[in-house]
Amino acid sequence: MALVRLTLLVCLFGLSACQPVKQTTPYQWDIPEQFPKPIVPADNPMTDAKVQLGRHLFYDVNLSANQSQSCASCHMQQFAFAEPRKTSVGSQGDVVRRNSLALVNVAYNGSLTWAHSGLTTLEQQILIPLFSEEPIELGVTGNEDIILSRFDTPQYKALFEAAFGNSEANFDYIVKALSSFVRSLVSFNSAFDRYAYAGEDAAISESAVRGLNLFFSERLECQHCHGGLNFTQSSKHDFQQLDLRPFHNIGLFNTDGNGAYPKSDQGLIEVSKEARDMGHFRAPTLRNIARTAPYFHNGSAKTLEEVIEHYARGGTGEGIESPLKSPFLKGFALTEEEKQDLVAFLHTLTDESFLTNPAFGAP
Amino acid sequence: MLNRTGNLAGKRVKLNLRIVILGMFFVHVLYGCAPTLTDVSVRLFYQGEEVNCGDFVNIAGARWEVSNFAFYLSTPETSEPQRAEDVVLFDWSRDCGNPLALSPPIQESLASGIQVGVPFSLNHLNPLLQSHPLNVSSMFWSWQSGHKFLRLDMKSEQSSWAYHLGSVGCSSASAVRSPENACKYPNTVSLSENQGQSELQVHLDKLFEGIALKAENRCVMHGANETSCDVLYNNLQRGSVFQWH
Repeated sequence: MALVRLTLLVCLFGLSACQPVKQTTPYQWDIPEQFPKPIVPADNPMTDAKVQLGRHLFYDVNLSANQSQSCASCHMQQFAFAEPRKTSVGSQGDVVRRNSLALVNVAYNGSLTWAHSGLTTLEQQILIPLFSEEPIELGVTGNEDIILSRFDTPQYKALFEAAFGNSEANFDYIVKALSSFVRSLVSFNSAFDRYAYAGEDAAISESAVRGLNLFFSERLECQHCHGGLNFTQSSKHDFQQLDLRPFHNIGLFNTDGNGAYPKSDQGLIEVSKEARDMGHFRAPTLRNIARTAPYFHNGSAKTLEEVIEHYARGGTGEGIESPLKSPFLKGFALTEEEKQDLVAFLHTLTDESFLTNPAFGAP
Repeated sequence: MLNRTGNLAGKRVKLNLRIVILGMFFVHVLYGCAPTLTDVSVRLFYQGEEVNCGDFVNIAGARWEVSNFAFYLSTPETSEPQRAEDVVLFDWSRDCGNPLALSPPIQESLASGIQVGVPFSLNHLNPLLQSHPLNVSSMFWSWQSGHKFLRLDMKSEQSSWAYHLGSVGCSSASAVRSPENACKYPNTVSLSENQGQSELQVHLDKLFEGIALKAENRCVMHGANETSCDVLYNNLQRGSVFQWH
């Protein structure tokens, strides 16, 4: 009898060892209770296994055709997954015309990239750096087979197996895993969070408190475009009807007196083909903003001080007179001390634990 | 006289009847019995000269090579759901010199008109999960969450030029919705009705009319600095670039 039991046990063990070992452990978000959880697409639920696979892929240069770049080449953790250069360069030297955006709490974003009203999920957006030919970023197009063959390793086979119950890599799995990892990049542990949400009065300096009050004042109007949980959404204002489009013209250019931006990059209008979208770009999150220099879609502002000076002027150059700029860009006067207070406040949005969290770093 | 007149009238009726029957027979032969095309030959021409696989084309004193030429054929959007398999891709690098197999819906629609393009209902789905030919990555147009309908990439020793066409203006009214309505500029190209011709000729010179072939005149992202886009699309719409023969 004991032998039968033993045989049965061995058989059961053998059977389970041969079954696909897709791991479905739901991902545990590291999000304080007072904050809402992000919405996740139904066809790509978050699991630990997908996040782990996505993390490996995110840092792996084998994802680029010539093995010279990974996602992390332009999205570096120490810079809140942005890049300290004006605009990025693709794996084959193509110039990318816009500044690399930080990847902070993008799981909450209603739209992605600097200027696109149609990309609503990371799964859609990630196709661009992978497959784009204009410009080439990772250069996957036409090189799918050789790239996939690089993931035919014991380590990756186990990671794919765990994530999808199939050890063979394909680009649908890759995109879903990368999306899961990028979605996991949440940051709610800044000094500001401790001050504002945890009630720690000593979490930020007196100067930063003054800067916070300036930031949320009607005098500076910052919070209208950089409001809400992630300092990024547009909102209702006494002088403006409800505006759910998070895209704004901030008066950087006005090449024709009618508000035009340079033909090389005109923002949302290129996608929507709607005249009202000339020079419209998405207001990015301000979380960890002190680490994501340079600023604006073209990386034209080197420091936070330069950004504040732009808004104080109500634009830059001819852009100040742009008929298309946001009505919130009225300009304002700041003393030098107030400017430093505002900068001090913006620094309180830095989340050091996010920038150094090993779970987000290279495996 | 009366009889004779009556006989004459009777003969005319019989003659007219024969003509009508003969006419119906010819119409029947011409259309009704014309074999359904299951495939067509796609041939490339420049100024009347055929461009064969690997040929160089002399354009304005420079030798140009077709490095990539591909387009989708489909039936226009209908109330009937369409599948990826209903769409046909011609890819010069793969199909050059070979007949292009048509899908049954395209075969049935040849006489009423087909198009270069992908129906809207198929164009904006996840391309990584589509069946062939909508899973061909060189035709992904990710920035519009769609597909290129046509691409022509040319290179010479000194320069390169490219034309990528697909739907643009595809953003939704809401930032939290994928495109649900047809794009502002669908950019499909209707082909003329096919009268049983088995050859689809593509006349590059007709496409290039009004533009000089150089890198500055490329049209790939349809931005404000790509003024050649309107010229090229107008050329396509005139109906002389794609011709049945």
